[in-house]
Amino acid sequence: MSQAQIQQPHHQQQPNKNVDALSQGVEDLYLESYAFTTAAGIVGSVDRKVFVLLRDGRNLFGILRTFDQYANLVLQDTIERIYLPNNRYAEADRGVFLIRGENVVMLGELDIDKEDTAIEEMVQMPFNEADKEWEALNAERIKLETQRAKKLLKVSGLTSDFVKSDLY
Amino acid sequence: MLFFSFFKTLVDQEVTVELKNDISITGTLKSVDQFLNLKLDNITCNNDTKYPHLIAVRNLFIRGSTVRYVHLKKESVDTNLLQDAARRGML
Repeated sequence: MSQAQIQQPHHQQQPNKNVDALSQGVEDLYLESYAFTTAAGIVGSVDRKVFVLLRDGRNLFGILRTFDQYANLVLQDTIERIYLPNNRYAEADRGVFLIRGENVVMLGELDIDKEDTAIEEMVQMPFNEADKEWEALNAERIKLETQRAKKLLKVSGLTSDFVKSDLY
Repeated sequence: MLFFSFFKTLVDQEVTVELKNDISITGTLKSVDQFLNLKLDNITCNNDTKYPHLIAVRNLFIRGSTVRYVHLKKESVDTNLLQDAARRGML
């Protein structure tokens, strides 16, 4: 067999082979890395009841409908819940939420058999009253933390990582 | 990318995540992504008065930007390997 004969089929097959090898490789890469993406972390909770804690301290309960790689979320039939000291809580219907990912602290899938055990022993109060009380508590906290940060900086040159918008 | 790879080696181990709001959550690490968002299973919260509904939560996705510390078991970290990798990363 001459070299030309050997080479000819080789040349013809090469492009096809290359495409196959490449696409195979890409697919493997995709599947391998998919397990460690934001999407893989959240995808299992889609169409389930979840709770989302936001950076401003709000607790939202709803059905997770969709999300993206930044953990931007869409919740349906959302309820906002406020917990207050002395076993009190309040709830308000909020409808559909599109949450920007940067405001998410955590997202948890709820066990619907157990989701109400936390509030069974609590007393429900009107939402607007609870909201006022909660705002007051937050204002108090901001005041205390700002004082503390100032003191830390003055006395020991340390900075506090408290941010006003982070009330979770 | 080093710590992303490092966290990938910790999958299925028990870790305690301390958030910037001082609450700690212990659970089995299930997934981590490029932003070091963590996914935990079988979680327990050490002070669940603030978020009492956490007892009804099966698995938890924690956004990396809110994490202060991740506490690991001593045996799950090969410090020599990690140090080597960190130095190689600096070069």
